Formats: sequence, C-alpha cells, structure tokens
Amino acid sequence: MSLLGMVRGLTDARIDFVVIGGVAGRAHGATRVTDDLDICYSRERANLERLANLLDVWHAYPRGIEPGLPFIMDRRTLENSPVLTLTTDHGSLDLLDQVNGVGDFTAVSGASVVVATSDGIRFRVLGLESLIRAKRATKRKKDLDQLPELLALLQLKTEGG
Amino acid sequence: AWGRAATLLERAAVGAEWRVEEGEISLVVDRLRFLTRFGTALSLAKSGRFEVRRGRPAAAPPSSLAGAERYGVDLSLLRQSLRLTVAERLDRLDADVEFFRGLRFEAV
Repeated sequence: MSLLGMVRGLTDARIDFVVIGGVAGRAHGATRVTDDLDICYSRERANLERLANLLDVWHAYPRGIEPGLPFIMDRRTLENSPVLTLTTDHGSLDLLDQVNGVGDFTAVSGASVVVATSDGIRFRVLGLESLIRAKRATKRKKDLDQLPELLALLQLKTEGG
Repeated sequence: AWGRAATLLERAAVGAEWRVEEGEISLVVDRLRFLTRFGTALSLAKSGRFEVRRGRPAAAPPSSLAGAERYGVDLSLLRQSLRLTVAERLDRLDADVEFFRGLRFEAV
C-alpha cells in the first residue's frame, strides 16, 4: 500500500485526522520525498477506538525496535503516548496528538485545508503557514532544513507564481 | 519515597498498582502494558523526533527567493510543482516513493 493508500485507509475507517509533515508539504508544492505519513489525530474517545482498531489490523509496531517485544495497540496505548512512531504493514506512520507551534488537534484542524487525491479521497492537511510555524517550533535540523523551501513556496504562492 | 514512587508509576501509565494485604505491600505491574510503554518510548527516542539542534542558534532561513536559491532550493522545480493540482502533486509523491523503494530493493 502507498502513502495515499494509508490515507484512504484512515478516511475509510472514519478517523478524524490532519496530515502534517512531509506529505502536507508535498500537497502544498514542496519537492522533498518522504516515505512516512505524519498525522495529528483527535483524542476524542470514539476516534481513539477507531484508530487503535485500524492500527491493530495494520499490525502497527514501534519503529526501530527489534521484533517480538510484546506490544498492545489499543485506546489506552494511544492515550498514554502523545507521540507514536510506528511501522505498519503499509509503511511508516507517526501519530501526534498535538503539533509544536500550532497546538492541539482543534487548533491543527482549524489551521488545515481539505485536499483531494486523483481517486477522490478527501482529507485535511495542515496549512502552509502553520506547517512553517511547526517546523520552526520543532527546531530539529531535519525540519529547519526544509524551511527555506517552504518559505520560498509561500512567497511564490503569495506572488501568484 | 512511597509517595514519590506512586507518582512516578502513575505518570509512567504502565498499569502499576500498590496492594496492601495482611501487612504485606506488593507492587503489581501490568507486564504487557509496561513493555508496550517501554517499546513506544524506545522507538520515539531512536526516531530522533525530539532531537534538538545543538550549538549556536541556527541562522534565520533565507526569506527571499534569491536566498532560498543560494541555500540550494531549485525554484524551477517549485514553480513546476505549483503548476500542478494538489492531486497531481500527491500522485507524484506516491510515484517517487515507489521509485525510491525500488532503488533500495535493487541495492539490497
């Protein structure tokens, strides 16, 4: 399954989420290639149940950890872990319940825009200005390195071209 | 110390519980929950997600297009990308990922 396949899986399972990170950057026009999907999700109880069930079906497991360690994927694991870095049957998936520089899911959702794929999947991605705020706030080298491209994109969009 | 231990265990959210029975104090830990918590924390530590740039503060990223170009951003690629629809950009991402996955497979 591809990155967009994972997005389809999340939307089909009625997960309330916003795509952040590299995939959101690509939706806005960035050119960097990313092979993982980062999402911010609602901590509403029913949403956590649906998300945990889907991740269980996808055999989600902590990324970078030797296989075989007992691991429970359920609502409590999501509640106890504000950030999860997972590997699944379909690729790498990072889950955050809030985004640095933006806020909790309500703020992230409010700062997002709806986009659609060529086969009709509609989902939310973090807006470009908020994505820039998030990259600035995170202060990781990897994120700071992406700032010039995102700032240039913002300027090109503002100038209409 | 007991109080502190209880607070730490609660914060760790590993399903630990103190039991006092017939003069004995025991600590019962949900082993699966503990290992799940350990695994997620270790994965997060290895991912570098909370890695913060060390040393002097980074210079402000270039705010002009010329500055971005000097930084190494290919503006022609960005302009080309902006001419595509969002759906086309996302399709290209999937194609790029497939391409790089293929390259990795070939390398192995």
